[in-house]
Amino acid sequence: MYEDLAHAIFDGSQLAKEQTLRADAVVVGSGPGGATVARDLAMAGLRVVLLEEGRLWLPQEFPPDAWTANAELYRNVGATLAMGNLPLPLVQGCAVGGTSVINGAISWRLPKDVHQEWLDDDPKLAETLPWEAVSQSLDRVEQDLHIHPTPEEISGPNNLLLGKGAQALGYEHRPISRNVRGCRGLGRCMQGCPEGHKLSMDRTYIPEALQHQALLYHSVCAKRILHRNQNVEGIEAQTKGGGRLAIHAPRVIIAAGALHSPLLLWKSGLRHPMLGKAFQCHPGVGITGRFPTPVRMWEGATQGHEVTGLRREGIKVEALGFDMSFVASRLKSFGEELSHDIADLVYWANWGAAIRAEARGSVKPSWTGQPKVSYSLTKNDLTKIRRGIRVMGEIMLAAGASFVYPGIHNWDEKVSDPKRFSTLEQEVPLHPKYFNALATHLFGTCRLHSDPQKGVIDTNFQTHTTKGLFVSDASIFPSNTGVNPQTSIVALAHLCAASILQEN
Amino acid sequence: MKDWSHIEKRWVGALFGAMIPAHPHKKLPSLQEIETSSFWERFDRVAPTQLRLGLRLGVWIFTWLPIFLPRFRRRFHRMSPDKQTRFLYAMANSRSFVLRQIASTLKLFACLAYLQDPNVRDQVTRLADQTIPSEKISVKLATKTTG
Repeated sequence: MYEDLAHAIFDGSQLAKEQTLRADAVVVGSGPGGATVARDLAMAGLRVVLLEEGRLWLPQEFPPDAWTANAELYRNVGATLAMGNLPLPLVQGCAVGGTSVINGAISWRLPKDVHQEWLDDDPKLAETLPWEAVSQSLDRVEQDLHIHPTPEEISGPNNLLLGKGAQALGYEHRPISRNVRGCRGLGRCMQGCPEGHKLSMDRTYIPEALQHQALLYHSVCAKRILHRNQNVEGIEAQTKGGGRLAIHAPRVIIAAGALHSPLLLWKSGLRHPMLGKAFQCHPGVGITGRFPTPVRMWEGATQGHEVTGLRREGIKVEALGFDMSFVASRLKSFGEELSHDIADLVYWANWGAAIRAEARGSVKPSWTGQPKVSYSLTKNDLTKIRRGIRVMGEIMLAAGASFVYPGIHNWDEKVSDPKRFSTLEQEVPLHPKYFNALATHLFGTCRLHSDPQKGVIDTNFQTHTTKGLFVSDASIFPSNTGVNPQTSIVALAHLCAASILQEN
Repeated sequence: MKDWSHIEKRWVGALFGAMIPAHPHKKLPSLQEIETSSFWERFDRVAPTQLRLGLRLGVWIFTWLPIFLPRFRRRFHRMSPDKQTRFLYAMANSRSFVLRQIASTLKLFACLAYLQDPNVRDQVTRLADQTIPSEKISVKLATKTTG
């Protein structure tokens, strides 16, 4: 795919000198938000430079094990922490293609009720982001990224057991729609698809952008937005090889994610009362269970089945196809017992519940220059977490698990009787440190709002303060969505690109 | 780990070895027996400062804490394998959130280091292949979906 595009790709680890470029637009970040805008602008004939801090990986280079993948493809080894009443690791990708390279390929349309909440909060959004426009853009994304439900033949037992249990208990469930083509169910989405069957940005929009004269600089970190008199002038970046890159452009699109987009604005001296505020995410909790027949959690579609019936309660249950090492780390045993469990790893399953948390936090630069995230779950959020664990436990036992580890401190370590779960909500206090969670899908730190006091970005995706400076990632979302945001990010990025071109 | 002292490396080796000992019957080596230098090289290169400091602090705490606990009274690497395992269980179920987090973080890194070894992965896969076939599951799809 990239063989014919070598002339358009520059590896920052090999660039040790100073270099100055001129372009019509420079895009910072090659995840779903940045890649989409870069592709649309390039296809419209603009000279585009796309910058990415991570490196370009070819499918055959993706590592099979979780450690190497986490170390090479995840930002900070997946160990960036949100600090608050329950420290939460925040998971983000760092490679050409951004998080789309290492996610489970789950593709959800933006729910209409979430869009309506955005309009309720900011009625002027109806003019620039009406549901019809969003919906059409979502249709286009589904077509471009070949989004389809996971076929049963590649699901594997881990996914099908979730469906079986949900069906037995009457929960609404379905195969997950994913952006893949020709997937054989290798279970390696989170380490990067070794066959290139996941249609992540590095396999779709980025090559398309490069075919239309865009230039990709990877292993390059944007350091500062150049601006003067409230007009953007370009980007200053540092290459991994020690060089410096100055790109002068009248349009700059920041798509570095909900932690680094506000940070870059902050470091560039751009201030706004809402910058870095209103941070939201989807905290997730997992449970582990042992089945009497093999599950082979590391085989089959990584995430191929979900329980959708609780979405409006803010809970979404999904099968998790982790690598062996993560399966092992989630078992409760140590010593010889853990060695025995690892020998029997084939029998274990792991599912997760993502929570639409109401809590809002903040992102600021820390003394190291990295983002400092403050975030504390509310009582309502903990109620959802507790209910999510109960539902997952009941479903797992209904699917035939011999027993389940709910993973709650100071409560039953092992549950084999479904009736025990019926008392979980009475017995477990809403104490954050009784649970273990991590967070994915980060939102809101450069919030979009027509009122310059309430949002960093206006309804044309441009910053209220600086002309020519746009943001296109989940940091602009007025709220979290309760569902996996990739499709929505891409859909809004198409609208962002259209807005830039219209202004052009 | 390049800036860890020889003695600290022994401590982390003891902790990891106690977490995942050998399973001779299933031909699985202990974590102490396998080559982990590439794991630690990568850790040194990519782990953020807080993680490196946190892991090192966790190793110190779990090495020295048993001395102050009446049930153990020795440094971790000087305890019998049985007591080491009991100490790890005690920490994983401790009332202290910090001790529980150290236990789970050390265990996570032990599992990552263990199962990045291609021979161990091959053996776990071989053991999986020797089991009975998976249950045949056919799921009837829900008729209604939440959009």
